[in-house]
Amino acid sequence: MLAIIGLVGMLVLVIGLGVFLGLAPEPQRTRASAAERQAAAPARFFDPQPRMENVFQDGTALPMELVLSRLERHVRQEQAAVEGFVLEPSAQNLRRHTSSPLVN
Amino acid sequence: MPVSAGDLEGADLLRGLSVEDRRPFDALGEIVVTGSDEVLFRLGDVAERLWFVRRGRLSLTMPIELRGEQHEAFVEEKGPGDMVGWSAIVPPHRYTLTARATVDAEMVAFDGPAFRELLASRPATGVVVLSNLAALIGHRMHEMQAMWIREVQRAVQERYR
Repeated sequence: MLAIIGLVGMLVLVIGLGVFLGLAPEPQRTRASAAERQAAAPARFFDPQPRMENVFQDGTALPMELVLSRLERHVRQEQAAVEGFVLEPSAQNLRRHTSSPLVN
Repeated sequence: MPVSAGDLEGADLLRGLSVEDRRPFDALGEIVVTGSDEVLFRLGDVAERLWFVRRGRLSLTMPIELRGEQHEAFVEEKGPGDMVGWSAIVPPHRYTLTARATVDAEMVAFDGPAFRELLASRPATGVVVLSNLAALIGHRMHEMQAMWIREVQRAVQERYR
């Protein structure tokens, strides 16, 4: 009896842990579209969807110069965004918005 | 080309020094003119020289791999008044970034060992210069920390939303 209770307890613990870590299947929940998820997402200090695409619409890769130029723009915007934090450190100053095309 | 009095005016590392205290640095410096796209130093090189930008602009970069090839990613831009190549006075004396002139530039180059010797021989001057250096390094560190935690924050929010 004790062993059965122990086994059930272990099972509950494993399932709970799986749900917590996001490993459990979600059979009943239909996955929202990217647009729906974006609309429902809370406001952040960056765009939730990257606006920088790796390819043109016809599928050809962006020229490397353009990629590097966007990377430079991102770094410059980030430096500008954190300047306030460097002068006056605060959590608020750490989360200033930027219009950088690179988000991750 | 030798450095004249006043050529080092506005150098961030020499801020707070009197004209008299700056004079020994004039004797150490050498004016160097670089063309656009010329590399002053590369990441990993032995840091033999410290550079003061008098005119023009420099781009500091680090290597990044994109599509299987190595490229240089922009880290910071430096202009008149800035000094670059602190590694020449900070052990282990190896450059940690690559510096390239983005336009024609005029620099004052200092020999690293001679610069360090000068600081050691004039402790009061050394304290001022090294305090300025600490402030510059601190500024860059705080900036990089803030930029890094913003990137981490984004990665975490993307992964766990």
